[in-house]
Amino acid sequence: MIRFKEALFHMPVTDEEGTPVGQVEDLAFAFGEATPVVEALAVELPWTDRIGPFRLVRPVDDIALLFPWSQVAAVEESRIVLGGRHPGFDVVSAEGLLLVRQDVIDKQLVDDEGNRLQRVDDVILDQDGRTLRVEEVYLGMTWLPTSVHLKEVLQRLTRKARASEEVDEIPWQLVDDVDRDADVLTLKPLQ
Amino acid sequence: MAKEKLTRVKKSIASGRRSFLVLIAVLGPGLITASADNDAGGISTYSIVGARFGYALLWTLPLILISLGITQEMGARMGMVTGKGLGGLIRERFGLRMTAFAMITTLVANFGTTMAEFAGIAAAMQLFGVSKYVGVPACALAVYLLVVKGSYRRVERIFLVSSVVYLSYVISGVLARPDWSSAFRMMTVPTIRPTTAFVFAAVATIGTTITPWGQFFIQSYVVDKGLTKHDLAYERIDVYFGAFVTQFIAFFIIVACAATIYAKGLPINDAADAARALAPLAGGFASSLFAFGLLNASLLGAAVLPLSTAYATCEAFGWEADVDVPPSEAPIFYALYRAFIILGAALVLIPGVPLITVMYVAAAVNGILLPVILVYTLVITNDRGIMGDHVNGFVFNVVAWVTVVVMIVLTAVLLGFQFLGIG
Repeated sequence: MIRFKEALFHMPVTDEEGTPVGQVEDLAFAFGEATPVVEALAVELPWTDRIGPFRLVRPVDDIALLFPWSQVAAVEESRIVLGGRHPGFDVVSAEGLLLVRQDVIDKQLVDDEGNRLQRVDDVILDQDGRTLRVEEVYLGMTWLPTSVHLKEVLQRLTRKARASEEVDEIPWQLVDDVDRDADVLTLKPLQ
Repeated sequence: MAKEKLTRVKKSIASGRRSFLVLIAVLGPGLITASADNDAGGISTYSIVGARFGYALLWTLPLILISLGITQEMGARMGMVTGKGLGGLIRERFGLRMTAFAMITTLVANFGTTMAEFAGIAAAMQLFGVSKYVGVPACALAVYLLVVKGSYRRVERIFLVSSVVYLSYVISGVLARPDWSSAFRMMTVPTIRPTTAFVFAAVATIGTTITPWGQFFIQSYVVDKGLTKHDLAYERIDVYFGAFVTQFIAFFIIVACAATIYAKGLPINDAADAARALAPLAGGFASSLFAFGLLNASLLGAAVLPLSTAYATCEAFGWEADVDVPPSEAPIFYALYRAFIILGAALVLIPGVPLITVMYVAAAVNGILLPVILVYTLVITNDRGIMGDHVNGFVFNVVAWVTVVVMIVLTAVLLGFQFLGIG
């Protein structure tokens, strides 16, 4: 298991020849599955003069592009390798996809009754070779006397997992809704 | 033709009337923040500045006015465009670690100011002949209960209305017959004295007016009022007017103290000394009048500051924050709020604590820590991803960055003077 901000954010991205492409900006996935697969990699490029098949009139600085995950050749400990040669990569739209950093991390988590729980500190991903899946929402500082509602959620999860220590991650499958306008993630009612 | 003209005229009259009504409706956040600026720290800082330096620092007031107007407008604009408080915006833009740094800075600055408010309460009580050991705990409890059990907004409005007492400085300043030509000349000609005391006074004068808490407060207030970017034009009027009112009062506090205390070479070591500035107006009642104004200012600050600090911190970390829910549902919010009040009041009760010095130093601490919050604000207000078309213009960026640089330089000079043992 890896945490996005801790392990992947700003990780260097290179092509198969080791040419620097940029750094990891975000990960995109579709909402709806219990543990959604990461479908695209957002890379921040220092500059580029093409976007997908299109050559630009003039280069642009500091742009973040979304590459389909099929172009990822390897997820190594210190870099992500894209198959192919820079800058000849396909680009996909972020339409209809959620972004881990932009839409989930640092956003407000609320329960099904609208009670504020805490902001999301990180997202935990399961890595299986070059496949990444969104597994859990990570909350730090749960050792603080946070709201009784958050405590209830975590205690239920601990009992369910029969864990010896209180869990401080919330499975992604419990997230009911991601409201991008309000920057709020809502949990499903806990049974 | 006549009918068309009549329609146009009617429309312009109707829109004018609507404009006026909208202006009245949005008036508040800027004026309220400005009035809260004239708190215990403000009154004591301006009094000390006038009493120890005469008119020498008046030239800073027009510059502070411009800076205050612009920084407050930025805060209001962020709130109206995003619908979020500054704590939440900082978290979403900068992430957890940078947020923790910002909030720790704010907590330190705000705690100092909260102590200053209770020091003001203690000083005012002493002028009324009430022991601080009775007055401060009673006021702390009253402020807490009024906010938690009563209506915070109603309490705020009561204090704001009674802020009209600051006009006593305007009258006293006039009755003291100051040297107006000298005062206005000193307002336009910078005076710089290379001494620790002068630099400290400059830092405190700026820090008591443009504060970290003020940035959080105005933004949360416009969000609370439900103002949107469609109200921007009107809210600017409110903010600029509020900034003017703050500096208008500050001017007369300084002039009144300069014309009475400084002119006679009298010391200013406590609130009783500062009250002499109101003697031209109130004669033998100067002490009581000053005590009333100081108490009013301090109670407003003591009510506003711990609450807005607790709200801002909880918003940054996503914790529940609401005075209408029981403490078990918002434990960190209540813990912060109570801690600020209890500790702020308790420290002031330590025997021998120099009350007016506490207020003065707290203002300087605000000034020293201000650049941290302003830098966050500047990055956000220049981020098109957050502000869209409402990013800062060139002039705003220049004024705000100059403010940051000036405060950093002044702080460095102050520390340098201390290190070198200068004046």
